[in-house]
Amino acid sequence: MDFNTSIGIAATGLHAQSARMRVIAENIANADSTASTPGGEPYRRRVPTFETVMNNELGGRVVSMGKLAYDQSDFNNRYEPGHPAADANGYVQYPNVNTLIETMDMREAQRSYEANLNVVSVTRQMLGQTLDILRG
Amino acid sequence: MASTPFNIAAAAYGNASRLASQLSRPEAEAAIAGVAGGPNFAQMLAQSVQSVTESSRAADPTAIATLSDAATRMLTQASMPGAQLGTNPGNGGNDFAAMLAQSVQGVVDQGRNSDQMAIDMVNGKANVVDMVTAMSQTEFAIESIVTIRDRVIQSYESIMSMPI
Repeated sequence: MDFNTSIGIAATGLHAQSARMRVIAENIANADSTASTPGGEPYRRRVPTFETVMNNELGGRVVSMGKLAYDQSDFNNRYEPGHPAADANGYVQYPNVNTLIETMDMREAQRSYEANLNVVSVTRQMLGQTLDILRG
Repeated sequence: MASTPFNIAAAAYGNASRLASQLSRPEAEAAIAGVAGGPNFAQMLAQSVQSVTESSRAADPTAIATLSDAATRMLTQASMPGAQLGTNPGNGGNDFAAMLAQSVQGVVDQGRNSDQMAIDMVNGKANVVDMVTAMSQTEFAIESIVTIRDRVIQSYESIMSMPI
């Protein structure tokens, strides 16, 4: 049924956005995770990707969490000679995570989640209104 | 596709009106016999009922069960365990009874599914989104079947209160 299909597709959108939230949580939580050895690589920011998948069971194209890519931008260098991860020059590499960017991503995920929830509730309303014809 | 709640709702609406016109057939014929000859309101009414009956005969040559039969069967089947549904052969009213049994069975299955989902959710195994969508689909199905039941009983009552 079309109504169930659209609810199912919207549910995959909800899944995708909650998976995105998981990645954002990882990034924010690890914003200060450095390496434990001198000159080692710190946590590298992860970027979620989404892809379209044909779902024959639902009969529609749903969204699915694609590959979790690594952000290739440069790490932040800070001069902290006493840090265990400091290199020979006294610089420590910090993750390439910018909490402001993560906050914006989080807001985006929240809005997308809301949009998918709206699809669910409007679909419910439509079916309820159709059934109301029989009640009249 | 035929067993989805929305299609069932549409089909039940058509079936209920067909059953309604068929139930009124004997009375309609009697009324025509009684008032034949007098060009009055009763005859006009009887003729209109007759034409409805004729058209329903043309649409569905095989006579199906009376509305009361079907409604009673639906209610008894709704209270049966799920395994017995659909195996009840029914006498005469095959398509309507089978349609109802099938839809009630669908509701029972969906209810089990969402129950299991809720239990999994409490145990921390299921996702909230899956649980909510399963619950809302069950809610839809139950709402549809309840609406259909109300409609069928309403049709039955309006036929029973029809003065002929």
